[in-house]
Amino acid sequence: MELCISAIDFKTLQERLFRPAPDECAAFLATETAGSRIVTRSMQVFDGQAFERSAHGELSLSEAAQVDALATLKRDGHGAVEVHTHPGSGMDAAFSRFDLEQLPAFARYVQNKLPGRPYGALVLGEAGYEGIAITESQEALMLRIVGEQSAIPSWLSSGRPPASSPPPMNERRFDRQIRALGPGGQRKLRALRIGVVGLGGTGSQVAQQLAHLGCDEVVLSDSDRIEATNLHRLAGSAWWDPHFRRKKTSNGRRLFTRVNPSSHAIATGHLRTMRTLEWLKQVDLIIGCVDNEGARLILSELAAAYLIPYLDVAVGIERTDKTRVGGRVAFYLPGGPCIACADDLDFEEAAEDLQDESLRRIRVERGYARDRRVEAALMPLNTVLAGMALIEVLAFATAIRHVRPFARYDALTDQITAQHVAVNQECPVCQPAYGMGDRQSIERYAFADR
Amino acid sequence: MHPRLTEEWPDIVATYPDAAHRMPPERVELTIELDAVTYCSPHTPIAVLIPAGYRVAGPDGFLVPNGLTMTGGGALPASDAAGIGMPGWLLVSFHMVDSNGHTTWRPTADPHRGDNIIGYIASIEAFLARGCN
Repeated sequence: MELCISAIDFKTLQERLFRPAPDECAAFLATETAGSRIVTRSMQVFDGQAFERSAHGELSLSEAAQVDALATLKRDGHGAVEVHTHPGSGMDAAFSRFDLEQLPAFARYVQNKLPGRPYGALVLGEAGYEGIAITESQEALMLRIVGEQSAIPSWLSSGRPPASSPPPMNERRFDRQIRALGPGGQRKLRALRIGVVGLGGTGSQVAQQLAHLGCDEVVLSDSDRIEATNLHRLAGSAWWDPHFRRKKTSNGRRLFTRVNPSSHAIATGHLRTMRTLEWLKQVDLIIGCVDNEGARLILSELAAAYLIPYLDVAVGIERTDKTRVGGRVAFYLPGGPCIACADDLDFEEAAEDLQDESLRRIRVERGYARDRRVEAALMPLNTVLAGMALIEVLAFATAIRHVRPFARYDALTDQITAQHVAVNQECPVCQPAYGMGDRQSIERYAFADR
Repeated sequence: MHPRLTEEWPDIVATYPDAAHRMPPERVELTIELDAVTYCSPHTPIAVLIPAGYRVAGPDGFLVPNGLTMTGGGALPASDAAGIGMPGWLLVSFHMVDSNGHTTWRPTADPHRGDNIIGYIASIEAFLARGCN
């Protein structure tokens, strides 16, 4: 079983747990089930007063501290993973004989207090760990740190192991790229399963670049079919596609199979279907190239709940009193600020986008909502934003530099401006959803009839 | 139950003991008192639909049973709700917007602060007390 924790939280956990070294220290992680994984929502690190020393010198958590911590977890409905340190063990961290003797009784005690919730134990060294998940049986608990490559300790790899062992890379195909990223960087890119939501002007170019970069495992979501008005900006499209009412996801898959016939491009259709939402819960990175705030809200919530990095790409052309042409790239790294923290999510528009169609019609009749207008679009603008996004994907996966989470592009002044955004503790999007896994009930967004 | 509604549910039941959670569509139903001079009944059930995007998206209008009228037979500003899966109910036009038509709904991460269902129901009570003005 995998225990996911954001790189931001893991750094805090590690710093606080090793502060009293050479003494041991311990923490409880508040966890939730997320499909076949466990995700970490929060942590409680115990201070020195919470420990008792046995006659043999081993430290253990006092009963009072245990009772308090478990009461909090029970009140909030979370599961628990107990973490303690073995300072000085370096890469060879392992449960001691004392730990293994205590573990079964402690596990029964916790499971009695938190029935039906996941329980696990983890021992951390400075550069290693050992974990046990206790469900109906005991199994290894594998630590998975979610974040940009440069934030992940070198002794842990970030990538999910490929479902099946991949065929050997065509070194010749990637020769120039490996010279830039190194073979390790290329492997990291290839190990990612990426979800691309929205395969229009921006999404089709993102898909095309992912295919060329060697990201062979993708989930493609879009429910639209190609129309004649799409051809001026849809990468990979052909003049006959509108005649055959080809789906945009089908165009996306074609982009992958042209470059690599053995790529795994899964087409899932509309975002608001159970199938798409289930697939997106299982990816390593979501790239959102959508044109509505409702979809951005769904993806932001899903990303926060399941600790999945989410890169949102937006383009816009406004020809009103003041012409504005540009866009922005926003990268949510779990534990960091989301697009709503950056004030880049219009709640009112999101509410309208997600409204039941019959309710929306009533609102339009009463003058409380407008019919959607057709937006202007230019392929070169999509190209710039898709390129900016893919540079961030390279930063995320291969650590060529740190991810720049928020950046805006102004085509009229030809400027890219990085934005500093802090986590908003009051954010109604990422804060309540963070690390809530299956309890976030993201399926509520799926249309009942699809 | 919607996860954000779950967070608010103990407060809702403490304030409105007859509150019930029903679905589909997901909603909160409860009874509120009415001014007997203004309405044909001294109390009425109401239903508030919970949007999928709640709390980011606030509720938009509320429902009363078909048959609730003003004293003298005047109709409430409402339309039939059968089309939204609530036959026998009327959807009352009640929107939390400012004079420019923009929403005044301001949610936070904390279920006890910012806009929430209890605050919304209080606004409905005030709206009905004003004779739907």
